[in-house]
Amino acid sequence: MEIKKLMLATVIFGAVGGLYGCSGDEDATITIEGDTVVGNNGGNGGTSVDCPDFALEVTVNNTGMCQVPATIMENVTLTSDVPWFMASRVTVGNGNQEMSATDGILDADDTPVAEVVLTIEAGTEVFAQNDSFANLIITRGSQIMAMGTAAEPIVFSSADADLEGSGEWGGLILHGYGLHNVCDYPEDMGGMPVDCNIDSEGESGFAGGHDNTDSSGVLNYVVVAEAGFEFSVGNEINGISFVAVGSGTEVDFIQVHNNADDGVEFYGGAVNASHLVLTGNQDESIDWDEGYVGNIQFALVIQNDGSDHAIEADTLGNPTFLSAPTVVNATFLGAGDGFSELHRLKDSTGGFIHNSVLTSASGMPLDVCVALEDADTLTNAMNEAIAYNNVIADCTEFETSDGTPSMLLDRATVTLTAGLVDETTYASAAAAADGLMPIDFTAFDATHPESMASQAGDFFEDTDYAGAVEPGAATLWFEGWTVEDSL
Amino acid sequence: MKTSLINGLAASALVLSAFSALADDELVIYVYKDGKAASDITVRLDGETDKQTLSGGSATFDLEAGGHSVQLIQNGTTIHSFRFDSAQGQLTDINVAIEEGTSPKVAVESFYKTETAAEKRSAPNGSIKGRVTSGGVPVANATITLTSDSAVSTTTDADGNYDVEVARGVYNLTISHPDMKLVELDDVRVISNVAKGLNFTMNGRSSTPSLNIATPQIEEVTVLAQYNPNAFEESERFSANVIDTLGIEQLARFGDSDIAGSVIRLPSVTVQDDSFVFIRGLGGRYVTTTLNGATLPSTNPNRRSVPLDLFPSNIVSQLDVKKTFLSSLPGESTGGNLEINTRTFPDEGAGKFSIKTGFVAGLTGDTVASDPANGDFDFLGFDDGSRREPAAVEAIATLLDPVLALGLNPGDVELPAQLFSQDVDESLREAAGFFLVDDFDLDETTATPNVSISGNYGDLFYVGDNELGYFAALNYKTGYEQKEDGISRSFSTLGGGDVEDDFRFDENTFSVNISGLLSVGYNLGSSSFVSNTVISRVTENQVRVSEGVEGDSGEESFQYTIDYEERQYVSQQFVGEHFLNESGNLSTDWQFTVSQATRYAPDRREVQFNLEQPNEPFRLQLSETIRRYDELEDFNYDVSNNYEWLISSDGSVDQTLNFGLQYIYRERDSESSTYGFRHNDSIPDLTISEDLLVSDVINDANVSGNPTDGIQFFDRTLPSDSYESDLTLSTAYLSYDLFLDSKYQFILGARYEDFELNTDTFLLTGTQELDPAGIDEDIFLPSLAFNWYYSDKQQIRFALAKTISRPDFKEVSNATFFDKELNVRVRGNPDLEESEVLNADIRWEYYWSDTENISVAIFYKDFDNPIERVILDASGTAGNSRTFENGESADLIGIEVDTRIEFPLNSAYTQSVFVATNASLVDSEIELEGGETSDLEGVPDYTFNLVVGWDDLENNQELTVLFNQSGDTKKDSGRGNQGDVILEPFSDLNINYKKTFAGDLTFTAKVKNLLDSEVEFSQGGGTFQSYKKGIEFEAGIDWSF
Repeated sequence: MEIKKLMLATVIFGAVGGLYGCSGDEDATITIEGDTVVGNNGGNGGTSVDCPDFALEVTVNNTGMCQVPATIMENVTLTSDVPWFMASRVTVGNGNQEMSATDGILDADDTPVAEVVLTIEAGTEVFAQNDSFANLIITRGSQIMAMGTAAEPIVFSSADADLEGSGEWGGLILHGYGLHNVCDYPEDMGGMPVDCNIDSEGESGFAGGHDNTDSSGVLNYVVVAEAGFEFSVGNEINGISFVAVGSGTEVDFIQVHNNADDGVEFYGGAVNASHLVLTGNQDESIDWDEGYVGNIQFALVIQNDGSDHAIEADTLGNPTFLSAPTVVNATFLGAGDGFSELHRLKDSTGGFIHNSVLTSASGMPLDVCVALEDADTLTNAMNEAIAYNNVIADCTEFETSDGTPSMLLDRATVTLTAGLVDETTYASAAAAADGLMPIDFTAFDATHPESMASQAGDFFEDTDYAGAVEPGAATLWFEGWTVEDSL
Repeated sequence: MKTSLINGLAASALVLSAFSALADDELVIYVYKDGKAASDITVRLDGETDKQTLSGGSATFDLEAGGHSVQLIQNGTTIHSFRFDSAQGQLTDINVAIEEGTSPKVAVESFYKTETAAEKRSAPNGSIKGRVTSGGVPVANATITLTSDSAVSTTTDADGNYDVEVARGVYNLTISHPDMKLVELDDVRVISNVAKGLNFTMNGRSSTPSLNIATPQIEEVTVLAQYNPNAFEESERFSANVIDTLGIEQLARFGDSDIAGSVIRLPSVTVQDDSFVFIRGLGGRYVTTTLNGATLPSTNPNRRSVPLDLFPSNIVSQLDVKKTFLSSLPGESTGGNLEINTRTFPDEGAGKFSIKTGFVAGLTGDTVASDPANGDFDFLGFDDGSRREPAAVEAIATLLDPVLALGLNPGDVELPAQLFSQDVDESLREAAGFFLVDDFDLDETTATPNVSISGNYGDLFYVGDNELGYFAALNYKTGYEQKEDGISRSFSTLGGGDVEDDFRFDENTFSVNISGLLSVGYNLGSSSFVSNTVISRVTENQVRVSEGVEGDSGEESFQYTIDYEERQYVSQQFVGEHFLNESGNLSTDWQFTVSQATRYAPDRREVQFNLEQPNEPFRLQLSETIRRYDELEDFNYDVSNNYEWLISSDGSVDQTLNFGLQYIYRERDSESSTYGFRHNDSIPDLTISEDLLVSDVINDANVSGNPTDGIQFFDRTLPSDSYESDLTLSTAYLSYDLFLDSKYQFILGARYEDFELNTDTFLLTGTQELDPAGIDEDIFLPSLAFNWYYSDKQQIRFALAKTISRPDFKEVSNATFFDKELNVRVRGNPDLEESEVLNADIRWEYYWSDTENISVAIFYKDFDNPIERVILDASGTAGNSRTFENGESADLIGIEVDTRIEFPLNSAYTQSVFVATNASLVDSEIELEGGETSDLEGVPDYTFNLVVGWDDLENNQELTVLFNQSGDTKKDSGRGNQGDVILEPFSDLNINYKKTFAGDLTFTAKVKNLLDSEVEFSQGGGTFQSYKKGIEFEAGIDWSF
């Protein structure tokens, strides 16, 4: 083996001698013009594209692309007529600096934050540098307007050919002025507002504020594939991270596919999301923490062998400011085969799951559907801060508490039955999955003080079925815009 | 010295004494009774050697190093007894005054025959007086010159009388007269506070020279009424600020191997992690450390203060801790200043050799986890290259990401999206992987006993009349220490709550310390020059194994880290002292120091296995398995020049003016790279290891350039891992000292500091561009001290001063780094500002005997914008982070009591016990940004030190028991609902025993950490981290030659 290494070393040094020899000169500026880039085949080539002024023209994999600038401080539109390339991190606005106690006014010099809108046209493809931390951050005060359609979704992926890898690039990070439970809100007690600056996921800077109705823009028909790059040791980023994002944000029809970390993760805030397709994500599919109180409807979660939990829920931060979102019409398909816990609720979380299906893709029952961990979480379960309502579950043990079977949750409307989910429509064929009464959230909230579903306005659609897909529906809402063969 | 009457030359009590050569370690005792020399006293040294005082009241003895007792007997009755310590090669002068109705007073002055000009200047004076005759006729206008470093001359009057006053010490004396033959006499000893009478006979030039040598031409005469009450005032009493000194005698007694162990013997000084000094509860940014007047850079990138374990005690001549700021001290000395003075001039050719060995209960002899990488020179603390970053991997990393590897600014560089084709990329990654597969699996070894060997030797030569001395010391120490029964946790909510991560750990560290000092000094006339070369190395090889549950995943986890670190400090210093005029009242000193501090930490390995599924074996967590290579280098240039002008010193109005300049330039280069692996889970069981062996997973067969085929090399270095910085500090100070009637002392001072700091780091947020941060400020620091010596035993001191606290290199950078001690991520803050501190201090001191005293001090400090490490508001993976911020304000008030009492156990004072204790209570409060309040970081609620010593001089043995405890100390501030991280009280009990055989052979034994109490950090009432270190036993032999 030593000989092999020695040979390798010789070869490498021979090959790199020139470059390595000048490594001491750190002042050197290496400039290779963007439009004469060396591509895959070592020559100039690729199609030429016509880029707007703000974007550099680059050639990636023999294809001409327009490079999104690293910092976007004025309104720009990524048009669908050219492919777009993210070479590294792209930061929209400057709201990830420290903010004063007044949302919108930066701490440094009391200057107003930049309010930048990044518009992305339907059908736009954004490619991120392969094997890089390239990611898109929408900072506080700025917005993303990703206006995809079912026919022309917006697709974020790595620059390689397929959509099947994972951890190949960063992901999307949305910040907002929403409430985060690590912040102090003395004005709740009549005190003066204080600043709220949460050092956020993926070294993305500071987020958080004082307004849970804030808007970080629109994500319509957006696909985020093969992201989750591990940018530092043990530190991957989620497909889409929502950090203190407010309910003014519209998130409808999104897919996160094969992310190396969580599919979507909500850190505080109150953003609502509907029509989520979360496939093949390697950590959790849905993760919430730090006082997230938004609502989710129509979520189709399909795990594989590499996946962790379908939901991981925490409060963390301030134990008196619970994470207590409402999830309606979700279908969770675990990988089965020894995968133990589909939902893992811990660290003092709250949460309400309505009209949902918990089962496995393997046809084998799950070991455990819901695992409750830590004393505070058990207390929340007993105090109606956690509830499963109109749920069909296929598991050996519906609920465990710190590893042992328990009966803390109200199971009046929980039906334990074999997993009957159609492999193509993902609708449940179980009798109990259909013909339900629409949920009276007002009545529900009255008996569950932590639930805020009745305050969601017209976000929730009334449904009479359990699961993400209506049994017997003529059209399937996830068809046509999601990653091919991902379902 | 006040002029005294001389007994007439014709007086009957004339004693003729031939001058003999100076005995080694000579002790001279002068006894006065009711103001007159007492000649009928028996002086018993160490309970065994008796001598009668001569008519002048003196008795002389040979003296060995160590503790001594003196018993004074008159007519069979003990009239007084006391004890003192002396070090090897020292001369000792003792004055004892016995008066009816008051307790006897003793003044002890120990010194080396060779001293620098400055040492001599601050020493007490003595004088020689008498008459010069020739054939019975007075010789007028004869010049009498006393020479050591400088010459002092006087001439005889018409009656042939002379009187010359000089610092105590050993001189060469000459008497010259144009008509007479020159008289020369070597080794004339001038005793502190004593007027010695010497009459000389000169011969005419025509006389035969042989007579000069053969016949005594000197008469030693008794000098009457030479009792001087000033002799009995402690030198410490007159120090301008609150100073505590550990001299070489005490250092010898405590027997600590390094300075960190020694300084805790001083009042209100504590040491954390065996390395970092805290004065009155303030450490880190509030304490400065200087080595012979030069600043010392820290070699630990995460700590502000200098790790004192770098400096062994045997290179030290004196440790000074100054607790109030004077304008001559660095402006950042808010809590105080620790000055390390190294040894230079021995008295004669002498040396010492020590060997010690020890064991730690529950560690030594046991099997411990060890570093699989080991080199041939590990026992010397040098890596032989086994752990060096593979050059090929470095080269490949550079190829794959030149911008990152070369530390370029991404904004300056535009590179193609893909540098290499897929094939080339895969080949490079595969090759890099091969170089990184070895030495991941834990090895086992037997923890060897601790061994330390040290030797020092010094000698003195004369070059003409000038002295050339050197002192060399070399130390080697190796052994194991541990943290056992460790607990490491995190909590679900920031104020505490449920346990999240829950690990038990065991850690052992094999260390090798090597240090050396070479000091060469040259004394000539009114100047002295010293060159100090210091090298100090600490090498630590640490293995920490943790098992437990990882909170976020809920999975059982087995983790270990292997650390290897070489820290080295090398400095070359030149020091000079000069008297600028004949009268010696104008003097200057200067120093120029170049030093380099490095930290070389190659091949930190982190490994984690998790039980992902209950029905399968542990899996290696590739994302957590890394190798990291760190290198840090500080270069430090420090030049300073001080002037002192003794404007007047007539006893009623003493005035001194001090002025000084200092310039410091320091630059730091810190580089780091981290390599890891990844696999995209396409081969399901690839990461499984039944035996928890990394080599089952990462091996030559599995390494691939493509993460779908196997384990792929992956560069995990972040741009912010490396940084460069520099600082420049230019200062000037002026200080005026007015001393009225030896009673009222005023010291007015002012210091100006111009400070510039630049740190180049890379942003992680945004574009990851180069982000220079820095500070460029100047400040004016006034200080005022008033000392009132209102009785000969008591005094009160007041001090008022402004000081400054500055952020350091990393604290102002935008980068994040990792605190190994608490396992937390730390983020710098580029908006950090300097903090100004107002200090006020009152101290009352009462000395009721030479060795017994009590002092009570009240101190108050008011901080503007105090710099505090706080728990960062953070989310997700950024959680468990720390940052620095300027609080609104902080204040601190403390009371400190320090006392030492001594009890003789017998009348000869050959057996005695002393009790020294100091205690302080500190109440501190910081108001953080936003108005919340809590304790100031790093300030313990209380500190308590107790030292009890038993000296048995009859049997040449001594026993010392040392106890130390500090109260709750806040490590990090939690804001809002976050709990503070608190270091809980920790008790430390050590016992030292020493017995000397045959004068030059000493047996030492020690028990360290006898209580083995738990070191515990808590948060919100729960244990955040805790461990025990185990009891250590040590025995050794010292041989002096």
